[in-house]
Amino acid sequence: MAEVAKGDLSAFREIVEGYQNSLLNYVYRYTGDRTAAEDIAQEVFLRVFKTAKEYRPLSSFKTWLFKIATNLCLNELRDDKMHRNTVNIFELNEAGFVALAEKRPSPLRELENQELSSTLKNAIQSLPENQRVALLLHKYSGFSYGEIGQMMNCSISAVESLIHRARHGLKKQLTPYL
Amino acid sequence: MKDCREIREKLSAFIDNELPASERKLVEGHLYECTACAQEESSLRQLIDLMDEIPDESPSGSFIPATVHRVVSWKRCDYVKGHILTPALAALRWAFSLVFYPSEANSDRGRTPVNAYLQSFDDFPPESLSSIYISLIEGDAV
Repeated sequence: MAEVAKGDLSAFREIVEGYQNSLLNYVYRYTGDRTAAEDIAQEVFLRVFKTAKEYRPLSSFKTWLFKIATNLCLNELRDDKMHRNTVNIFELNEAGFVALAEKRPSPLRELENQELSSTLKNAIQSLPENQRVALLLHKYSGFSYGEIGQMMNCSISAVESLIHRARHGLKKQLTPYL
Repeated sequence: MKDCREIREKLSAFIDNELPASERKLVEGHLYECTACAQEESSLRQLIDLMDEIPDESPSGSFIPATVHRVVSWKRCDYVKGHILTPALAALRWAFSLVFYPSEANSDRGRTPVNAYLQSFDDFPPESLSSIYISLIEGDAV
């Protein structure tokens, strides 16, 4: 990152190469939109470059990167008319989680009509924002509860609760597959 | 022994190996004795396995070049803004003030509107041309 802060493009390219897969998949699973995911992921890397001088290794680089990604995804969804009611999870404290469950078509209907991975994606999309973030960061990006707590500004027990509720929500929708 | 509801709330963290040792032992003990909670644990593990069914996406072949291009474009814009446009605007503003409000431009050491305006451009790197340029202008105005 020190090299990137000096404007070194080859160092920046190395970072992009190293994190492009994990970041793209996180953003894609978060937004559910492949094209938007690529655009957002590029924007995340641009922000990394822009703010490289401000980066302080208080937490791992990956944690910092995914926090930027999460905020950008939230902003993207906030701008989307379909997601007018989203809130910034980083503005919430552990006592203030807001349930944002969206109205979805009947889970049974979805299970009948769609392939498993598509059903899974939809089920994940239907989770409240903060539950979805915590679950995706843990399941697909490999962050510990502590690291997720740092990113979401909440305690480990709050993360534990978010992930538990997220899985509980998914289990309800995916019962026929279990 | 904790009740089933409390144990079930801990099951996700238990499966993820995120529980402290003492709580882990409690949950293990409970699962050994309670069939319903053991079934709940099993279905949660199934769900976690099921989530692996979403295949990973690969970035398009143009992802890295497009990202680097985006950065290069931003660098170019930033350079033009920081080294040409902003100093030019500051100079224009100063010249305008000098022509139309000469008394204000040269009064009250460092407190004039011109200087106040120039001081808003204080984020240039110290060795940059813009920084030297701004300090020269400020020197003149004072």
